[in-house]
Amino acid sequence: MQVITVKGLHKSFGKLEILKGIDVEIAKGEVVVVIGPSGSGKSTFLRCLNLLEMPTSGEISFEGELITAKNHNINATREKMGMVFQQFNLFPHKTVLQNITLAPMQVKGVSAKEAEATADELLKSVGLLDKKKAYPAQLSGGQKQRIAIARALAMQPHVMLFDEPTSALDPEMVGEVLEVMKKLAEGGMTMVIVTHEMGFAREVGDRILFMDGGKIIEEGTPEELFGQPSHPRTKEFLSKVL
Amino acid sequence: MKRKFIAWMTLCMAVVLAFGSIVHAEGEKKTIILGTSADYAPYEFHKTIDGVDTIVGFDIEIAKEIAKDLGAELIIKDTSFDALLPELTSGRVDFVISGMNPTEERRKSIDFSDPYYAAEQSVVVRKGDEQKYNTVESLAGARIGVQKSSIQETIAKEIPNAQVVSLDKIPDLMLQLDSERVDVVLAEYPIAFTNMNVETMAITDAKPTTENDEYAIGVRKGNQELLDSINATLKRLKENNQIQKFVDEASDLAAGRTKENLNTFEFFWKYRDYYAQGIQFTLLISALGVFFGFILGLVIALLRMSGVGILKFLATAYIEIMRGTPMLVQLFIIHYSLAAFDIKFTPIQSGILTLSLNSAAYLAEIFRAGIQGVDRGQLEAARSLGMTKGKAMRHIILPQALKGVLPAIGNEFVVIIKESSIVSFIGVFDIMYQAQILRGMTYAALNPLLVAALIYFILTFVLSKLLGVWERKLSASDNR
Repeated sequence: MQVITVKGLHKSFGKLEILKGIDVEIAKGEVVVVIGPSGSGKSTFLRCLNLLEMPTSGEISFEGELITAKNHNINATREKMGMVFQQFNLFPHKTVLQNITLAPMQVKGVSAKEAEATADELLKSVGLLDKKKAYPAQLSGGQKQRIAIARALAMQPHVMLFDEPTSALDPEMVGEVLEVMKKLAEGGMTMVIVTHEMGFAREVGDRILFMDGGKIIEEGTPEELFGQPSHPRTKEFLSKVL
Repeated sequence: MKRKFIAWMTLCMAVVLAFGSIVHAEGEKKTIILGTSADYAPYEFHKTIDGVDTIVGFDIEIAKEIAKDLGAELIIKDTSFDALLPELTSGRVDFVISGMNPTEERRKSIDFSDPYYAAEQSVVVRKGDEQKYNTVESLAGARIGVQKSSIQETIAKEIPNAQVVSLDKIPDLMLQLDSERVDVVLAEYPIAFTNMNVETMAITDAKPTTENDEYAIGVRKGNQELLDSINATLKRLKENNQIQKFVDEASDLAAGRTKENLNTFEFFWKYRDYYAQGIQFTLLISALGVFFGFILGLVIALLRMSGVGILKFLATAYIEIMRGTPMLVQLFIIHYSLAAFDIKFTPIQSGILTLSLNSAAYLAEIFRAGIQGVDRGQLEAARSLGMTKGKAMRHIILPQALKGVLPAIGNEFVVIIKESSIVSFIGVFDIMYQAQILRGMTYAALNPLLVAALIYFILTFVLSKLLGVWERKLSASDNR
């Protein structure tokens, strides 16, 4: 069953066309990793999936619902699509606990007690229960990103979108975040990940999309794409990053 | 027993009194007795000073100088004007100063000093008319108010085409002038200056002349020694222009316009109650102005950023208009112009309303800057969690925006405290208004406003220092 279906996705910022026609289908439980050079449109593609960027044209369906339709309530869809940002985007004026419980309480109407119980579980799973009362400013980059993942998971999403989750981290902190993501993938979460961590992509990804110039140039299993890339631009890119 | 006690007491008192009078006699100073008829302000009149009835006036000031030059203590004897000559000739008073003309008839019984004051005739007009009536000729055809059967009435009747209005009392003439029923009032300078309202009236350069308008000091015939001394004193006073000063001071005193020689701190202390009330009103309307301005400013900022064309236009127009017009004009429109449409606010309401509407425009821009200053990722993170725009605004954006702009809001409060001084124009009893009251009351040129300025400065300076401390605390909490 397809969770996300993208058809003919175009996105322009003014005269600049970033996405030049994307067609992709993502199945339930699938971990899709998007790679490609800077400016290739990876992040824009990801941000179009939950309509943080409004597509210029094309259609996106989520769980059979056309979310690009005019009268569609995007907020309801976003509840089911967690997103993790490169810059973490934790709420600096709220504690770790409040960061995690705010959306469940405000959006889903979950009780404070229940939200906190969920938060405790999630904090335990990302190994940061002791930071429950801390403010984001008191955390390291890796810790912040793990909290951001927990915050997204607190909404019990069906899909998780990761936008270069380790790019803003110091190298020694990358591992702890990838570890959490790996656990998540092993738990059967449907994930779309934009990343430059090729080793991680190879290990965790079910399917790799290589994007360049606003298009998906090549796609396949990690073995296919990393082992025998067929397109010259894929080869060129991989030769630079591997 | 009781009777004995009283007897003793009486004896003791008698002894003390007797002893006291002996001591007094031994240390007795030379005295000189002035005869005057103290019913002619500002020449000589009664005035309660510090609760004690005192005879004052510029004649009295001259008498004091005379006594001083003689090294004698001045004793004032108040009698009727008609009794002055008999008192003098009988030796019960030593000299007479009482706005007296040295007429030939009087010269038969007493001697007169040199004239000490020649009362000029003054032309009093409403402020703004000084140039119109600056010569005697220019009075032709004017409506002239004078005291009945006075020398001024005679002068007025000789002015061509003049409409002469004769009344009994000078204050009534001044009222006629104020209500534009006469164009000028003719009166002797000290009388004119005593009775006019210096806020609304002025004395022009026109000086109608008359004869027989000099005043002199009377002494007993043949008392040449005293007469010489008096003339010497008068000469000294005239050289220093001292007499004119006495006249003006006495006029002020007679009109209740006392000039005090207080330094700024003494002035503040004496009138602290006025300023205390002023501070209350200033802080009240400033605080409420910023409070309501805060709420309205937030609404306007959100409208401006709403992305809905018409709302955005209205909010932007509001901000531009409020920032682009003087607050004084806004205040007058709200207080006076709206009243024409039966929307009548009290001065305080108008003041708070104006300050609120005005500061809302500035605060709206501060909020906009604050909201735009919050990282875009915050909104995206909130929206990605399924929050609506409103919820994201309320829980995520605004709390951070407000924290960022709190110092700017504090500064706006400081600005409003200063700007609020314009509400004194419509009669709110703020600091500036109190300063104006004190100016009218004391005729002090500098102190009322200087104290007001100092209070405003202290309020704003202390407030901005406190804001600085607060700002540092806020930023400290951002550190790890």
